[in-house]
Amino acid sequence: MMEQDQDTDLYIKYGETGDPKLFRALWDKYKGAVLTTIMRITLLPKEGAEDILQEVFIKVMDERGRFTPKAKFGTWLYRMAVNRSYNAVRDKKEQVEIDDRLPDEKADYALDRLVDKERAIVLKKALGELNERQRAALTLREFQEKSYAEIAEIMEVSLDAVESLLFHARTKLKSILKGRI
Amino acid sequence: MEHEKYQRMAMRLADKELDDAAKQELQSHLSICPECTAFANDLGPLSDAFSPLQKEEGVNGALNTFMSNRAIKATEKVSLLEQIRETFWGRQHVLRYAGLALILGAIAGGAGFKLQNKPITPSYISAEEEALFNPVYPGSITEVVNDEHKESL
Repeated sequence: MMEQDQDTDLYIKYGETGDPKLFRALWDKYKGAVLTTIMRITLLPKEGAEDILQEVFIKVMDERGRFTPKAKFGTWLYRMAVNRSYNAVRDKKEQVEIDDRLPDEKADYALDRLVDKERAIVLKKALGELNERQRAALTLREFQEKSYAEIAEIMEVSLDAVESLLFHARTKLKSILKGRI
Repeated sequence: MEHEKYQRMAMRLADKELDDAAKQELQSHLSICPECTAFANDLGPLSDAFSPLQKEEGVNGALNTFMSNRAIKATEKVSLLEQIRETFWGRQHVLRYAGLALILGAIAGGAGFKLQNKPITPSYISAEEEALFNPVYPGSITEVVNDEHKESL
């Protein structure tokens, strides 16, 4: 039996009462993390990622009262965000913004010699070399600190699959960022 | 493949997903394998390299306002809909309507079947005159015509 958590209880209560304050509490708690997740998976600029964020939370609103706690609210929320991110990538909305001032890739610039903005761009380019499932697993692990079990539940894959996705993602990134880390 | 096995274990260790028994096995391997040791040592810096992207993104103020307003409107909409639903579409009402529709449908179907099979008789022809033309009745004009037709064949 699934262990109910506070956010799941809050969402169930929102479904029963329709109190917008309860929705607002969930929105305030999760909006930043979910937006970050969407941006890292899709590599969309913030405006595009916010469209997906909006879709996800409108679904949260529409599904109130129909939510059956087979999974925790947070798991369900991230699952929707990840699936919509996959759709966005497939719809070829994927874009990677390249800064013209980025140092020549052949130059031997270690990451710690670049300013944060440039490092971010180099990292995003590297992330762009992964497929969306690898990016999803890595994002949930590195940026949201989800356990393997949580990642497996969100992505609806096995634990072995999560391990494989993370292993291949990290191996590839090591080779892309070789000499820079 | 042996290296991959231990490199995966090293990764699980870095992610705090490795149990104690497996940790011992991994440490034994790392003590004799420089390749896997190098892999394990690179995991920390790789994770640290993501620090510029670690900062949580802030949501646009306009979107915050939009979602708040939508949540309020959604409540109002549900209240009205809930009233309508309660009045007309409560479960007990739906079952009643379904039952009634079934009965009416059966009646209409039966009536339609009868109407379809009833011969159309003009109102100016009496029942006796109609019987003359009904092939079921012996001695009817239709029977005579049919018999004459048979004789001609």
